[in-house]
Amino acid sequence: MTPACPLNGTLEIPFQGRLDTARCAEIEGDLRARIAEAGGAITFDLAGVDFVSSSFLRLCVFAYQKARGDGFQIVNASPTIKKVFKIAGLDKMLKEE
Amino acid sequence: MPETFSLAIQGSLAELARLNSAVDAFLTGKKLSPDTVHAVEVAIEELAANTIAWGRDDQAAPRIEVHLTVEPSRIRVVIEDDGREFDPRAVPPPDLRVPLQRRREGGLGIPLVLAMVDQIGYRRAEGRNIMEMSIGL
Repeated sequence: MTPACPLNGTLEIPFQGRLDTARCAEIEGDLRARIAEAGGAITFDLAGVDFVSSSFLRLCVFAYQKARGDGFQIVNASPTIKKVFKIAGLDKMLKEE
Repeated sequence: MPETFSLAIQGSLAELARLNSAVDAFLTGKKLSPDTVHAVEVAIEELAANTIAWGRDDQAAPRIEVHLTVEPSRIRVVIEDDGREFDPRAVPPPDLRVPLQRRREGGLGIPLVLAMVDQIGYRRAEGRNIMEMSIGL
């Protein structure tokens, strides 16, 4: 995970691999701190992700609520991952592609 | 002959990672759709993680057993644990009428499982939770 802040002020965070409960426990502290500090929009890039757990969905809800007004979106989710967001009622987070 | 898989872990997130790797290795190469494999993995991940987090009143790690059977038209998933009584079917789905801005973060794991499996049964026997699920191929 290498957060980057481009000139437009959007915090873009790419994720890789399997975002299961154990992995989310490892990254949660750092990720929540970066999201809390972000001043503008937030984007999670899931291009390299093949599994998301409910622990990751919690982090997405946190990011959505922190980015109020500026926008939070998920990009590059696979069809299988998109299905998880739809079931959880979080499909509003998915960027229309 | 159906193909079967069984593994027991002493519940911790490190052990859950070992279980996930073993399940993934078992399912790989079985010509299953990505959605089927994903549904099996979500069910194991969420139910086991829930048991590890909430299953015991004492400090002991719960024992969790997973049994998979690949049949011609479905996969049967049986998960047993020795944690406190917990019927996943009683967990309510999230209230999707609540705007995302006020939605609570948690409570999504078990509803995900309930939505992704085709059937789920539960019984309590000899101090154990036994959850039997079926996922169509």
